[in-house]
Amino acid sequence: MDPAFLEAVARVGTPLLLAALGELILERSGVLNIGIEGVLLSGAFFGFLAAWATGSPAAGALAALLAGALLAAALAFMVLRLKADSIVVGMALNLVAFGITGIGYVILDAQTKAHGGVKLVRAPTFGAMLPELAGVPILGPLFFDQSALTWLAFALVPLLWYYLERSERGLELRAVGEHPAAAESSGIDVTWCRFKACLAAGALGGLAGGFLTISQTSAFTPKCTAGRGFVALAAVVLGRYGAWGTAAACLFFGAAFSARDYLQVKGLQVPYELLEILPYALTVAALGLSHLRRTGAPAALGKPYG
Amino acid sequence: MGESLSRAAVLGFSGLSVALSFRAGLFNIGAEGQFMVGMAAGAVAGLKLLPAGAPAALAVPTVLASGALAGAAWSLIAGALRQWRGVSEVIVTLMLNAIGILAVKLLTSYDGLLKNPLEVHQQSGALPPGAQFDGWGGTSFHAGIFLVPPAAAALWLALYRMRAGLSVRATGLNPEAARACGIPVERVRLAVFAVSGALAGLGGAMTTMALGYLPNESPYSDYGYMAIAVALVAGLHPLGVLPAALFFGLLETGAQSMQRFTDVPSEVVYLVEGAVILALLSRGLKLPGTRRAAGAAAAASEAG
Repeated sequence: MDPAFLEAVARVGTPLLLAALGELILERSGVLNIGIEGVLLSGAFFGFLAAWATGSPAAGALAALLAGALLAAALAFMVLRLKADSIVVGMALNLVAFGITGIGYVILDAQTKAHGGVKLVRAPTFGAMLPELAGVPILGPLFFDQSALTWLAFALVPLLWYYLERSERGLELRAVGEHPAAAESSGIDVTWCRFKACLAAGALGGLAGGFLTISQTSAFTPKCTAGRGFVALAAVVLGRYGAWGTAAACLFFGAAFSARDYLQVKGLQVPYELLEILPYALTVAALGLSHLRRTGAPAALGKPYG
Repeated sequence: MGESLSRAAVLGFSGLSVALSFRAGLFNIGAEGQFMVGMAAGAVAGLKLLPAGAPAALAVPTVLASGALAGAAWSLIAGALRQWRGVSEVIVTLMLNAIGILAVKLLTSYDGLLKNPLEVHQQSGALPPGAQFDGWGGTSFHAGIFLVPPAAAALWLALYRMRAGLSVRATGLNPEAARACGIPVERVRLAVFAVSGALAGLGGAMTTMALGYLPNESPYSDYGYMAIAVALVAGLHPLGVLPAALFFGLLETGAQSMQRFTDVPSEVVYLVEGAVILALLSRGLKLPGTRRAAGAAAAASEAG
């Protein structure tokens, strides 16, 4: 296998992994966030804005994290406090995020045009962590030519597995997702638990969006998240609501999206659009092949409580 | 005004589609994808099935029916996966939306498919004249717009004046009770998936006919999502969809011209639509099924 391809898989998989792991926490607590696309987009825009304004990618990452968490807090307010339907709220938040970031982009674009006509604003990027090791053949690009956020995303997988499946806090979270009434009667504050899960998912989703603009491309264009949030949602379902499964699904999508560009570069005569359709079609097929009632979805997913 | 009406017509079809699905307690958020395959199927029918000189009396129904059928089939994929595999329609429709958008790109990008080789832009050749809705007097006002009010009226009639409609509404309000009354809830749901997909697909075919060709991407992108705002403002009522779609059509046209003449970007519409949905929800708007879902789950857990 071409190391450049593996490197691309890890890079393309990073935002999916960050977003999907956040969504996994949230869904295991029983809340569905269709607004994840908007969360990513907010993270992408505000992360970019902060990185561009301050010149520091760390400030960008922080802003991305906060922007995502803020949008998720809006979801939490609507769903947990007002008991509104999470799917409709999520779609509304997507529209709000399309609007805010779209307006923000036009303003930013006008600003930069006024100052010398630079169309593409570039934010500083996370450099490779250990550039001296990146020269090692094969393993170098794969492990050492990646951004800090990629390392973080991969490190999160075993940590999250341990948290969800082995820790007491994780057990509480799962109880809230499976049977909120029983969890409440054993002394767990269901709403507070779900609220914390919302914030965590929002922060990770925002960071995922921020990765796109401050690490991967260093530019923001409207709707640059291009459905990655929705892909992350699918990864959680495909991964059967487990940390390892979700990570595997994200890498599958990462490989599929990288293959698209990789084969294009290699000059393979396959219609580009067909390669783009492939991962989505495979997702639908995989969901179709999954066994009835063994999806692993939390019993109270998407249902209001209290 | 013609522009607003043609935008409103697209929002109208997708709005009716969403309203019907939500009434039945189904979160079919696939209007975007169903619209795209409707657009594509309309173009395939117009360019590959019909002879170039086909009269309008043959061409118009053929193209519209192809769009509706394609939309229904696309929606039924999600319906079938929900029915027999227990997969949430939300995820599947989102995936199908992405595929629908890409499929139109694919069709219009290659000469062997639908791309017109003589055209610089990636788009199909012109549909037969009989299969086009011409703009009246140089505006974008076209005959297809007249399809929306009858569609809304028919849906209203079916939902509120016919047995089938009662089954649909009962299924949405409380599937357990509906099943206890002998309503075939599963069949009703599949039928709703098909009809709501057909409505969105009709909008797609209408758009292809009004443009006269299949474009590389929808001129009305994200209208399938905006249709959720339309349906909610309409109170999920088919007749309410008409003024709601007109309102958002005007808003959309207003935003486009505002962008042209001032510095205010047209993305403002997204913000307004999102805010409208959130405002409606925070005023306590409840969808059929959601309130009962909690009650039904509690009842089920008590029983089990």
